Amino acid sequence: MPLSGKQFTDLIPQLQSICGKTNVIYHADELRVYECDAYTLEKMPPDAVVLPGNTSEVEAVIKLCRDRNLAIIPRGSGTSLSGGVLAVDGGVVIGLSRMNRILDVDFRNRRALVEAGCINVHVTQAVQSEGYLYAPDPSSQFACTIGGNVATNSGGPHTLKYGVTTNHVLGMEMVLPDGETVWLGTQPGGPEDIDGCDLRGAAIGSEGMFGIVTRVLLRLIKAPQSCKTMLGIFESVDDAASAVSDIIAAGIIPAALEMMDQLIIQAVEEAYKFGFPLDAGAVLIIELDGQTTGLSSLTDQIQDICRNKQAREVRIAASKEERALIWKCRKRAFGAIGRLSPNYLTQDGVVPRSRIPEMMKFIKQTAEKYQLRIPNVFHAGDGNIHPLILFDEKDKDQVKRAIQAGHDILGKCIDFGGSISGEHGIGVEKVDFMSRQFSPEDLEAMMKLRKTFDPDMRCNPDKCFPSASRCIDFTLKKQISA
Amino acid sequence: MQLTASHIEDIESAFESARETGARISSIHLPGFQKLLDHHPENLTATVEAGMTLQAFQEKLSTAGQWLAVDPPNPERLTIGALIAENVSGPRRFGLGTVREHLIGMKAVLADGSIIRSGGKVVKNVAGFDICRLFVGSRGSLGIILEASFRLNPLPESEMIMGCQTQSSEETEDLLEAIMKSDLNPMLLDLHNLGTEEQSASYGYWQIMVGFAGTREETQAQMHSLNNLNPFKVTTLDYLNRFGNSDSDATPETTAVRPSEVVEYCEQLGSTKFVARAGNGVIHHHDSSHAGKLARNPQVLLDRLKSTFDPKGILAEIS
Repeated sequence: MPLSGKQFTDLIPQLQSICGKTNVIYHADELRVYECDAYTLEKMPPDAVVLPGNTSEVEAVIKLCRDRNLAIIPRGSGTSLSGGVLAVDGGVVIGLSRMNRILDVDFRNRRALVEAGCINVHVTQAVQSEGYLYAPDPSSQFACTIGGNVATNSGGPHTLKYGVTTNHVLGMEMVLPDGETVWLGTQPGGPEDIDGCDLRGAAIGSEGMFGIVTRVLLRLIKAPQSCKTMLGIFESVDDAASAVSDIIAAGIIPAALEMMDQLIIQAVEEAYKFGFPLDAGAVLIIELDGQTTGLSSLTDQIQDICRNKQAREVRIAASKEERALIWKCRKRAFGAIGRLSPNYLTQDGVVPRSRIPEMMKFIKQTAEKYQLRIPNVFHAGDGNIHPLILFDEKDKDQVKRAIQAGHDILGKCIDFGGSISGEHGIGVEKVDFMSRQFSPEDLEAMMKLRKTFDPDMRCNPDKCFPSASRCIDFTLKKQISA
Repeated sequence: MQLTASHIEDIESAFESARETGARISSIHLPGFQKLLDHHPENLTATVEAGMTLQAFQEKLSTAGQWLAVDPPNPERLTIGALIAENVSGPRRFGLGTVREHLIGMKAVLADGSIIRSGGKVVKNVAGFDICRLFVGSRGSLGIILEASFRLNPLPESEMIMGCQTQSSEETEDLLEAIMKSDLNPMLLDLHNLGTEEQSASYGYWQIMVGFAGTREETQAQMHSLNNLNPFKVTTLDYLNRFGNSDSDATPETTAVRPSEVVEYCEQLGSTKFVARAGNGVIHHHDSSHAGKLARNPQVLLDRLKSTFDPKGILAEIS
């Protein structure tokens, strides 16, 4: 519940005494920065935001909130696309942005210890001169934090070959909602294996609902000896989608296999001037990496597959700069959408890879049904779709249609035996779909796991599972905004 | 007590009697759960019942040129359920990871009799909490795994195992470090003192084992680069049998250290036979005086997990 005036005036000085005056934000106008994340359909400011500088300050803040029975909401850079850090019912946001250091890099054991607020790309930047990298590379990697990546088990284009966050986090320090600090998984300076259940694995992807992660031990990998980035240019999405299926079916696992459809190609071209053909139906970005020697025969094989699927052309990036530009276009594609529409809503459902052609047809039909434009730029190799449903928030009917189109697409992912989220998480956005993908028993077991970490359910409440209080307020708000 | 189940009803009645007698279910056999439920080669995924042995599963997958990329010992006896619950691994874990990296979905029966699913059948999925991984290494303490879905790998076109004898611990560490820091991408990096096939009777010398997998072109190229670092000879994984079938039938001890500490640790073992996963820091040996304990999970969480998932304590102890 939002705080009363007296509760509030008591709380602020105490938070300030823990973290310093400048690190507590509580004026209404300043709190607006924290009223939403990159999912902008809902806006709910917290009562206060506190920016601790180390684990003991986090502990002290959490104990204070525990004693006052206040909700705590962890926040990294606020790049979540599903409303994962919304203060649905008020509470204290614990922002980890000041805890952004790389504490230790151990090349011999291929590990790096970082604070939870460390920006994803800073890890790779810190180790690449020695030939290492941190593999998960979400498109927001220049802004998003490792702690946020842990919360949503983030992916990225290169996770097709290398896996997602859970495959690259060895261990983590977490302050539980009762104020006790625990270490899950491999300890810094300790051996990789630990005894018993994989609690680190259980906590990754828990959307900040188990506790506040403060430090993370990452696995570093050796950068591949070389890589080859190709652009397959197709007349239609159908042809490109069948090429994706054929590449996977041929037993080739590229480092990345991404698709952009015509609308996205046009927006990206206008923004970044790469030289994409504006009349192409779809483009596949196919990246192979590994030992230099093996790459040429695989490249030939992929070119053959693309040509068999009527590719107009398969271009190979000629230089590092060209490769970097291709990835800039891909990773900043969402940013180029501003040229097409004032607002967009994106989904990240997953379908079995062989169903991609059917799914793309369904998205097209959905766009026609609701008279909306839905460009697509997505992780085709993983079956992880990203339809960008364009709308103008000033047009209330369009907002309603956009939400409905998103729901239809998620429903289809479930019908195809897939999942409602591949990397963005459930947040507040997809709560209503959980009971379509999971049975009451499945959800009950998840709730048991949550209560193991947070018996009072005060940590990032009202996410993932519908709760009584949230249902009423939230549905109302949703209807109003729609 | 031992649970042997041909049907789900057998599990229910075993739970019932465990609740009545207060005896814990400490060993699980699922002879009635051995079916391959689906295999989609075009998606590189498969779902299998937990009672099937890993070997039988791999044989079925191999018909489509695919496999579950784990290689624990005794796959002919190891069931899929035990693979997950015991979290066992083999020498190729350096390049391919352990079972947690490949598990994408699971069906299990909990102590209260409810049947739950977690994850799914697609390779990327963050919907809901990751109960699949909670069950990895849980040793039957939270529930009984009935089915598991995995992401699969294509079987590599070629695999090459190379061995090299070293003369001193300094040389060993230098070479291991050079391999770890090189451009090579080994799937396997072991260290042992079991001799070579020809000199199997004489222990004492250490051997560094490096394995490569991929296209023929790739493995050949890597083999060549490795030989530029230091001369290696093409060999086999036969040393693993020499460790397993040794004079003592006792279960080997397992110690875990950081990879950088492997050489120092193995030196302390003296003439005791050992096989070490040098890239991961896991050492199997027969010296009980050196039995190293693994770090444990936070007790506060284990206690709460057990009391929420198995309040009557009918399943194995948790760790």
